[in-house]
Amino acid sequence: MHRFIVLIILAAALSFGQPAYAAQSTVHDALIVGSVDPDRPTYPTGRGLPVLVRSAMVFQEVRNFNEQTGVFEAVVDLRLTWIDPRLAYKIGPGDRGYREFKATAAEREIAKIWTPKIRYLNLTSEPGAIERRLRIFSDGTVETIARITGTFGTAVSVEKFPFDHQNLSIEVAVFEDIREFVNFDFVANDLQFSKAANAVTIGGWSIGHVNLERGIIRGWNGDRYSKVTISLDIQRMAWGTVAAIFIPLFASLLIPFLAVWMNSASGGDFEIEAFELGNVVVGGLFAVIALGVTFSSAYPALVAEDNTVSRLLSLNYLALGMGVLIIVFVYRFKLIANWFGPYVQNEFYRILTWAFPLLFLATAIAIVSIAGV
Amino acid sequence: MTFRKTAPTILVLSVIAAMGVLLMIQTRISDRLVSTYDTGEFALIGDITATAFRHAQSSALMAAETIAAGPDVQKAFKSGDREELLSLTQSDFSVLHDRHGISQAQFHNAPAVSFLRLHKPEDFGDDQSDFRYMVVDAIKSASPRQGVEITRAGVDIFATVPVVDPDQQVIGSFEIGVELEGILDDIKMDHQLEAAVYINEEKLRKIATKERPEVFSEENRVGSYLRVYATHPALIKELIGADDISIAEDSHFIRDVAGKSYGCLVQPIFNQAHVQIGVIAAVKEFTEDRVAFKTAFIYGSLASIAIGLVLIAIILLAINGMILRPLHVLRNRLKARVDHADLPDENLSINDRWAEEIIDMIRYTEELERRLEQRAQAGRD
Repeated sequence: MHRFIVLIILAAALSFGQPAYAAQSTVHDALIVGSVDPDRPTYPTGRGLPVLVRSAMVFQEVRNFNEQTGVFEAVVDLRLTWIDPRLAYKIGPGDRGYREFKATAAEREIAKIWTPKIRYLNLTSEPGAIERRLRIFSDGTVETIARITGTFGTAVSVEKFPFDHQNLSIEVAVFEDIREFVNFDFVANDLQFSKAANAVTIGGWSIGHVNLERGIIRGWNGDRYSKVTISLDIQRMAWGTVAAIFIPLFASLLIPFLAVWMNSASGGDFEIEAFELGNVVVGGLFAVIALGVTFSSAYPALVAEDNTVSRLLSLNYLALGMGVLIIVFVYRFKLIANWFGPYVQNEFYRILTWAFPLLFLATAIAIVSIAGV
Repeated sequence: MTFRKTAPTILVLSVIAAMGVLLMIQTRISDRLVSTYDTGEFALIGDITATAFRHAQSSALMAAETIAAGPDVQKAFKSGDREELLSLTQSDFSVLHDRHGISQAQFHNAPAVSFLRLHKPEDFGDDQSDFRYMVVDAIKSASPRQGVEITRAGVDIFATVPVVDPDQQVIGSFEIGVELEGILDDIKMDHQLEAAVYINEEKLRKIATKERPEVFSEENRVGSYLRVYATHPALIKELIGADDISIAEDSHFIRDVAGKSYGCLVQPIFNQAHVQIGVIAAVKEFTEDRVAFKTAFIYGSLASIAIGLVLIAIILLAINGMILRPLHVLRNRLKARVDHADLPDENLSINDRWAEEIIDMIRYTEELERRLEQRAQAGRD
C-alpha cells in the first residue's frame, strides 16, 4: 500500500512537472534548432539569396574560466539581424519604427516567421536560462536577441605564457541551410555592438575586445554551412605568475651554479671533494623534478605543450646535467689537468665560475623575452 | 703595464667589440629585411584598396551605362517626363539598391540640376553645380566620369555617364552611387583588412545636408575630419589619431594596440576637381611577422653571446693557462737564482703538459745555471 501511494505521488509530480519542462525544452529546441513548426516559413527571398544574417554578441558575464580545461561559463546575448521584406509595414503616427516582443510574446511571434536555424558548436552542456526578444522594423529588418547562460569550451594556447592572450570563443553555426541559402555576416555596427559588459571581470586576466570571424563547416557532398566565431580577447596579468612559477624556476636554476661557486682551485687540486658537490646537484635534481610534478598537477596545460615554463624546466635539467659533467670530469677525474696541465685547469675553473651562470641566465632571459614579444 | 693584464683585456675587449659589430650588422640586415617586407605589404594593401575602388567604379559605370542606354529612358528624359522616367527605372534601381550595394541614382540636367533622384523621387530641382564637379564635367565633355564625391546624402563612389538622344546630343547625365560601407566591408571579408574613411568635416557639413546625424557626432571627430565609416570602430579609434590622417600624400606606420602590431596605410581621397576631401585608412595585422623577426633577433643575440663567451674562454685558457702561468713559474725561478734564494714551493715545478717552448726555455736556463755553477766552482778551485 505504501509503495502504491509513492507511485501515485510520483506519477502526479511527473505529470505536473511535464509542462514546465516542455516549455523549457521547447524554448531550447527553438533556440538551437530554429522554428519547431515542421511547416517552416519559406526563406525571405525579397533581397535574393543567400539570406545574410548579421551576428553580434555581448558578453554580459563570465562566471569562471578554467584555463587548464579551456572551459568557461558565460552569460551572452546573441543578436541576429536579417531582412524579411514580407514583414515590412507602414509606420503609423507615434510608431517607434519597430515592433518589439519579449519572452513568451517573442516566442509566439518567432514561431510565425522565418528564422535561421542555428546552434552553438562549443556548448559543453545543456544551456541554462534562455530568453529572447524580437524586434521587427518597418522596413522588414528582423532582429532577435537571445540571452543564454552556458558553459563553452575554447582552445587554450599557453605558448606565450605568461604574456599570453586567450580567446573565449563562442562558435555559432547555421544548421541545415547551406551557405547558398543562409550566410552569416557582420558589419561595423555589429562590431560596435559586440563587447564585454563593463561588469565582466576574470581574476588574473584583463578584458579586451570582442572579435568576429567568419568560417565554414564542411558537410557531406560538398555542402558548406556558414559559421561565425565570436571571441572575447583576454590577456593574462603576468605579474601574478611571478611568485608561483618564475621565482621557483629561476631559484632552482641557481643550484648547479652553487656546485661551481662553492668550490675553489689551487695548484692542480680542488678544495671541496667531488662527492660533496655531487650531493648538491642530486638534491637540485630532485627539487626540479618536484617542481615539474607540482606544475603538471596544478597547471597541466603548462607542461603538456612547448611554452616558457617547459623550456625553463628543460633549461634547469640541462644546467644540472652540466653540473654533473663538471663534477665528474673536472673535479673527480681532473681531465683538464691531465690533458693540459694544472694551470689550464685552474684557469678553466675560474672561467666556469662566471661563464656557466652567465650563459644559462642569458638563455633563461631570452626564453622569457621570446614569450613577451 | 703587465702582459698578464693587458693581453687578455685587449683580446677580450676585441671579442666583445667583434660580437657587438656582428650583432649590429645582424640588426641592420634584419631591419632592412623587415623594412623591405613592410614596404611590400603596404604596397599590397594599397593595391587592394585601389582595386576595390576601381571594381566598385566599374560596377557603377556598367549599371549607369546600361540604364542610360535604354531608348525609352532617353526619350522620357528628353521630354522631361519625370513620372515616366521613374516608372522605367524604379524597378532596376530597387534590385541594384537591395542586392548590389547601390545607394543612389540620379538624373541631372545641365549644368548639374537634379532632375530625378531614384532613391528619393520627391526631391528634385536643386542646382548642384557648386559641388558636383563630376556631373558638370560629364555633361560638358559628353564622356563618362568616375570617382569619389560628397553629395547631399553623404560620400559615395560615383559613375556618371552622359545621356544622349538618338542624334547624339547630350540631354543630361545619369549617375550611380555605390556606398563606401559595402566596399570597405568587402575589403575586410576578402582580405582581412580593417578600413576606415575620414572626410573633411567642413566640406561634409556644407554639402551633405542629408547625411545621417550620427556621422557628425563628437565620437567620430578626428582632428579636422569626421570618421564616416570604419569596419572595426573600436580598433581604428585606438590606432589612428588626428596627426596620422593630416596627410597630403600616402603615408604608413606600424603601431601596437592591445599586444598586437598593426600596419596602417593612409591615403588621401581626391574628388573630381582634384581637391582632397578626405583620407582612407587600411589596417592589417602584422603581429605574426613582427613576432617572427623579434624572435629571430633574440635567438641571434643569444647565439652571439654564447659564441662570444666561448671565444673569451678559449682566449683566457690559452693565455693565462698555457702561457702566462708557466712564464710566471719561470720568472720566479730566475728571480730565486738571481737573489740566491731557495727555489720556491712545488707549485713552481715544471709540468710536462706545458708548451714545448716554455719547457725548452726552462731547460736552457737550468743548463745555464749549471754551467755558471761549474765555472764558479772551477774559479774557487
